[in-house]
Amino acid sequence: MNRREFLQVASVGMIAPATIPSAYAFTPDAAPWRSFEVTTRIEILKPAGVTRVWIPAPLAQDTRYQKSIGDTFEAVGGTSGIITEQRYGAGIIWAEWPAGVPPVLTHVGRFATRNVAVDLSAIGDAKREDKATLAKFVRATEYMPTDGAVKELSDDIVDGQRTNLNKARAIYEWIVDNTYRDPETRGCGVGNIRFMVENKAWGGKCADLNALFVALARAQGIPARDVYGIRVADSALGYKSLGKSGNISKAQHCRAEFYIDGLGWIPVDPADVRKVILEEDGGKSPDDPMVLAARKRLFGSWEMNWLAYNFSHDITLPNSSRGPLAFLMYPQSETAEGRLDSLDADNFKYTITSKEIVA
Amino acid sequence: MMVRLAAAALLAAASLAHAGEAQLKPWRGKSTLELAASSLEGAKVDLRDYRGRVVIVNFWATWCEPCREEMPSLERLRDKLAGRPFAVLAVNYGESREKVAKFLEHEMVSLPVVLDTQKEVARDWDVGGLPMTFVVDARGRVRYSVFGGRDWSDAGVRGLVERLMAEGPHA
Repeated sequence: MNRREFLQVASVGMIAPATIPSAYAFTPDAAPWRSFEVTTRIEILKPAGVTRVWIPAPLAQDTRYQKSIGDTFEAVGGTSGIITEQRYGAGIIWAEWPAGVPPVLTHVGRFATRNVAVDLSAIGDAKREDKATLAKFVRATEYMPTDGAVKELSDDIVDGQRTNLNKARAIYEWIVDNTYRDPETRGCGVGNIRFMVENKAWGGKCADLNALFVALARAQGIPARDVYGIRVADSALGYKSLGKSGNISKAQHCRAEFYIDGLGWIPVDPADVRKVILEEDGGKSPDDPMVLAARKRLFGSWEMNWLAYNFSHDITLPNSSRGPLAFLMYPQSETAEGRLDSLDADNFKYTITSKEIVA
Repeated sequence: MMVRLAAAALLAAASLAHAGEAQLKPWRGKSTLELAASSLEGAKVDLRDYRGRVVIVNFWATWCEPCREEMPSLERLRDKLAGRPFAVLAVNYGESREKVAKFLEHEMVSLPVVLDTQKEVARDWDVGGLPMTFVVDARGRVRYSVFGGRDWSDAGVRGLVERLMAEGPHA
């Protein structure tokens, strides 16, 4: 599909009613595509020596829920480019400025997205993922061991379940029942699952709670992956806590997927169930109908008011003088003073805005 | 004998927290860990230079509410043990010198602060959440750790530190 054709398809989506039926009864192929433009502007307020910046690009691989339309970027007075990281295929926009040049990077990423729901009632004929790809998504990472205490917990949770689908569901339900969204967690959390499990530290945000799902699934040999991204639009399903439009600078959010032969990659998001419980209308009981609906929906479907960046763990930034990152979801920068704190607005200023493209 | 001693140590550790407080646990990781970084004032700080003293190594950040809450109790413990072979090192997790200095001045915190701007010390010490605190004995061995905030000035902690100080650097 070329870009022109793509935008035409997206424009058809705009004719559709603005709200999705609350029953959320769409099927993947029937959901309309919508196109968005996300603009990221980075400014390093206290550069020192050579300054480098890295930001995640929209998902490089086309999926059933997202297709890239293209990226443009500009680093005035510096050099810049886009690379695809080798291990997981993450697209990374990089820029570099010599000493004395004010470092400012602007990136515009355009993509199309549509809601995704997988019918879990029967094994279908979804395109089979190749073995090498699946092998990547059962491996341990630095923060996500698949042995020791993580394996023991995973074994306990799936005890009695015979199929991978049921095991994944048991893990999902366990996370919803036993973890909580901790509003004090900085950013989206760090996803140190070994620490979480060994310390029974069940509070966190999406990078913790959804990574816990991934680690526990991988411990069973079920291919699973974090999908790092950002919310780009308000929820059309009535969840104020699960959407963000306009200025989305702090709307980073990661989700998770697991893989079953015949069904393909299945979307889940237990962290967002806990977000609904904590934040929706000032807090809701786990048995509130709105929570129950989210809990049911977020095992097998995603509302795609969100942009996926990548599936990467332990990611090495090109030309970085520092070690790998656990994941790349926030803009990153280094100066002669070292790596900057991407959540420190005093030194590292960035704005990310989103708008829907109406053809 | 060893089993009984270990059991006693576990019981002692378990009794060191009030209800709802994070509990100190015997450390089961690598026994000695490196801590070489810069103080807030720019001086070199190396944990090896603290041999002979029991050291509480507390990882914290300005944005961490439980970290802020437990800081006064760390100061009280330090004050109670002034002149004894004991020290507290408050290792800031990943923030700039300016931000930390401003916080300490505003909150009137007087703990000796070490900067871990690049979070490398935290990585070596396997700090996956804040506050995370370690009790290091006079031989430089990590003996206990706790994840979460607590009152460091209570009798239980003081008793533990006293016992470790009594072991001395040659135990």
